[in-house]
Amino acid sequence: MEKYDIEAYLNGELSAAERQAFEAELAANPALAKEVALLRQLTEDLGDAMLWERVSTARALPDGRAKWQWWTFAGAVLLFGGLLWYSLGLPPGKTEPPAAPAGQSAAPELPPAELQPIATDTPSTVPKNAPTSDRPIAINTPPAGLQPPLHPAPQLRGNNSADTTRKALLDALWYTDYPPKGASFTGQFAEVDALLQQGDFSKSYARLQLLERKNPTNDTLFFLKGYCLLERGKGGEALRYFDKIENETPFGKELLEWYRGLALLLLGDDSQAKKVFSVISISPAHSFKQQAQRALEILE
Amino acid sequence: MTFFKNFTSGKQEEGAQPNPNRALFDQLSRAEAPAIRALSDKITPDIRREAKRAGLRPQDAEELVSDALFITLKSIRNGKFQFQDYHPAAYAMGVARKLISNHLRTRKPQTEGLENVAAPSDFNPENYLKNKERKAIVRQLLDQLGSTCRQLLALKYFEQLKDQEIIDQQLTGFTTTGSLKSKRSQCLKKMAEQARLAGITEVF
Repeated sequence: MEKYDIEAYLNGELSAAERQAFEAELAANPALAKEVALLRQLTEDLGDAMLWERVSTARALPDGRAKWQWWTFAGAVLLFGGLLWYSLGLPPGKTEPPAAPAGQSAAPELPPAELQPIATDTPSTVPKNAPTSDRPIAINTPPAGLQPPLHPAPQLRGNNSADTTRKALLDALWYTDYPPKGASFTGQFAEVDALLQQGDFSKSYARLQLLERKNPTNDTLFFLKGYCLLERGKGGEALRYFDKIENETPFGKELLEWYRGLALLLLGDDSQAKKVFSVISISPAHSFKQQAQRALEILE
Repeated sequence: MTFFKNFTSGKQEEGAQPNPNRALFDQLSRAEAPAIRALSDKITPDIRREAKRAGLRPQDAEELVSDALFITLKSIRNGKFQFQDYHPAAYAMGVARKLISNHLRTRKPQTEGLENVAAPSDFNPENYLKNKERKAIVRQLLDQLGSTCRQLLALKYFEQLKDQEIIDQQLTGFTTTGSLKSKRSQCLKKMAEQARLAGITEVF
């Protein structure tokens, strides 16, 4: 009798005649009986093992709230320090942030908005005509049944072979979608929306920085900024904004789950990313199920 | 009179806000990661506090949180915990208190303060802890399987879907129930082999 018949027996899927025949074989074959007992125990424990894994994965999801509180406090301290400095009559020029050292990226990992210097028009860290660095450099061809990404995976810093390999891996599994299905961004976010649809993440980021100062606790802003940061290759910052979102429904919880996995990959945390993708891959109706399955295959 | 009518009909007014506790409960029943995380965030500070008060180590408190989440989810899935209009955190806290109480009972003969826990009445901490080690071994065995096997086993034993549903909804690359069953059977066999390699030859 084939092994899958054992499973059918354990799941009560055999007919009465088949079951009787199988049980007769069990009585006569102690080795088979032992194997069936082991498989029975394993299959009974599998569901629990997976549920436990789901709990561990959920608990391991990054929590932006605590960090946000810390950054808020740090921001308040810096702001107070700045005001004190200013009130002591120091020249205004001294308050400008130091220039980036030679060789450093023109767009460094930005600190949280609470710590940003007050902008005049466009932040100095974002060149006015530099969207090209965020533009697609290659289009990867996904397997049949999967849509190609809107934009390829973001460029990684550095130029050594490890980065090239990493970039190739990201290119193979990267998938983003904008705007999210069913979501529309109007009013103050209309301009950013148009820029994001054009794939101009530098300009979008600059606009979002300005909007954040006016409206620091807005879910739409958190989503757009998180997405923008994701496309710019800044996984940690993207996660921080995604985790600030109170109500994920308008943007799609499934989309956010997938984006969190991508952000973890950008951070280099493949282990956590795989856990997120595993959760997605076993959710029957998840919109990103296929992408997650492919990501797991590539990562493994 | 509209006010009165709405309250006597027993039905939710059209367009009214859905019960957030119910929504969370439903998401937990599907073991959705964000819902589990929300419940975890809700109960973790209280459990840490109670564990500390009971003299437990911080790492034990973290394990207690996971235990409480796991048992709550399992109780929802097997129907032992049905929605009762309160936040699921109340149930999870009841589980955690029972586990703390059990921990103290095994440490010293008399316990104070934590004996009169509200819920759940049918949860037996001793049985749970006895089986926990075995389930941890199964988790390790599962970790050694490839993604395809994990997916096939998850669809059957976690999502509890029928093979025909898996095929109809195109949840895998398999197009017939025969090929699906055959592959899953191989996966189970592989898992059993790994169990044997780990020295597990009988029911453990």
